[in-house]
Amino acid sequence: MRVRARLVTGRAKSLNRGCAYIPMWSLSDESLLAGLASGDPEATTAFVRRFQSRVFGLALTILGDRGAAEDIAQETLVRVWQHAASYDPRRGRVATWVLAIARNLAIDALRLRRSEPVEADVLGALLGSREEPGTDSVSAGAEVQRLRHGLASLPEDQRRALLLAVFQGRTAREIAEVEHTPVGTAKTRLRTAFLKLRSELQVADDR
Amino acid sequence: MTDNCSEVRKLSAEVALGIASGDERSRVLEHITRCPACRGELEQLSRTADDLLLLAPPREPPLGFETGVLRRLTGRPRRRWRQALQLAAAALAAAVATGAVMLALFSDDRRLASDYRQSLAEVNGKYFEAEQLRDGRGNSVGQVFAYEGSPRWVTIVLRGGVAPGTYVLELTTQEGRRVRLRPLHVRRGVDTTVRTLPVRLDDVTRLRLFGSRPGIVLEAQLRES
Repeated sequence: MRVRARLVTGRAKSLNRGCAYIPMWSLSDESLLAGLASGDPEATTAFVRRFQSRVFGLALTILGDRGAAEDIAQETLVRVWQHAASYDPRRGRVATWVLAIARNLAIDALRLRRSEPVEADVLGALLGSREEPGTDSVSAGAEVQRLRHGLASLPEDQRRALLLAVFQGRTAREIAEVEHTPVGTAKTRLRTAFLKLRSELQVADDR
Repeated sequence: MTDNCSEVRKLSAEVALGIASGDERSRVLEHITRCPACRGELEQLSRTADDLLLLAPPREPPLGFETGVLRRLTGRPRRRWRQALQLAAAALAAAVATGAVMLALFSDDRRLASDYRQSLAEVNGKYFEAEQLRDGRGNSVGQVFAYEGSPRWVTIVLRGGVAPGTYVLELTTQEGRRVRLRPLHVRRGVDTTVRTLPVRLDDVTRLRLFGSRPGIVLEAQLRES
C-alpha cells in the first residue's frame, strides 16, 4: 500500500482534510534534537522542558550546590544547542549524550571550585533515591531500575570506586588516595565493577 | 586475543570512564583501530558508563531557569535547508512513532485508509511516499518514506530484527540505473536515518540495503519499473 500525504507539523489544521497533527510532546528525543538543530522555536522549548530537570539533577548530584548546578545545567543546554547538528546516533542515545555533556562540564567545575565534592556514600544514597514528583522523566522505568539494582548488588568498595569515577571524574590514583588503597587495587575494583554491571545489564536484556 | 589486547582491556574501563591518562588513552585508541574485539568492548563499556548517568535523580531547576536558557537559545540564524531536512525527517519519524502513518498504511478501517489515500493533496509539488522495507523472506523490517521537495530526501525506519552492521544503500531508477547513497550503520537493529535523494522521487523504483554478509538484502519497492 502506498500513501501520498501532505506533511504537516505544529498546530492542527482542519481535521476534515485529514492532515496529520504531531504534538511536540509525542516526538522522540531524536526528533526534538533535530528540531532544536534547525532552530524551530517549539522544538527548542519542548527540548529544554524535557531535559532540564534531568540535566539540573545530574549537575546537582555532582556539585552539591544549587547555584553552581544551575550554571552548569544552563551551559549544558547551550552546548547541546550549539552541537545539535553534529549529534551522531552511533555514539548513543540523545539522553545519555546530553547527560555526558552535563557530567563533563560539572566535573570541570568541580575541579575549578576545589570545593569538597559529595562523598561516595552520599552519592550512593542520592542515586538510590526516587525522582521528585512532577519532574520530567527522560528515560525512567525499567532501565533505570536495572541500573540501580546492578549498582546496589556490587560490593561496597567496587560501588564506591565506580561512583567516584562516574560522578566525580576521579582517576584511579585519586580513588586510591580517597579509599586508602594501592592504585592497582583501585583499578581492579573499577574494572571489576564495570564488567559486573555490564554483565548484569546484558542478562536483563536477554530475558 | 594478544598480549596487547590483554593490556588494553585492563585500561578500557578507565578510558570508557574518561579518567585514563593521556598516554593510556592514546595507547588504547591506537590499538582499537586494529582490533575490532577490543573496540567492541570499549564501545560497550562506554555505553554502560553513559547509562549510569541516568541514575542521577531529576530535580526541578530554580524559577526562571527555563526562561533564561531559552533567552540564550533564541535568535539563531535562519535554518538552512539541511536543518530543515532534519526537521522534516524527524517529524515524519515521529509520525511513525505515534503510529499515525502506520495506522493509515495498515488500518482495517476503510474510512481512515481512504482518507489518507484520497483526501490529501499535493501542495506545491511536495508529497511523500511510504513503503514497507522487507527482508529476503518478505518479512517487514521497517519502512521507507521518501519526500519530493526542496531538498528531496528518503527516511529509512528500521523496526527491529535487522542485523547490526554496515549496509550499502542503493536506489534503482526507471532506466535501471543504480545510484549509491551514503552507507547506513545499524547498531541495534532499530534505527532511523535520513539521506538526500540525488534523483527525482518519481524516477525511483526501488531502494535496497545490502548487508556485509552475503544474502542480506532489504528491499522497498516504490513503484513498478
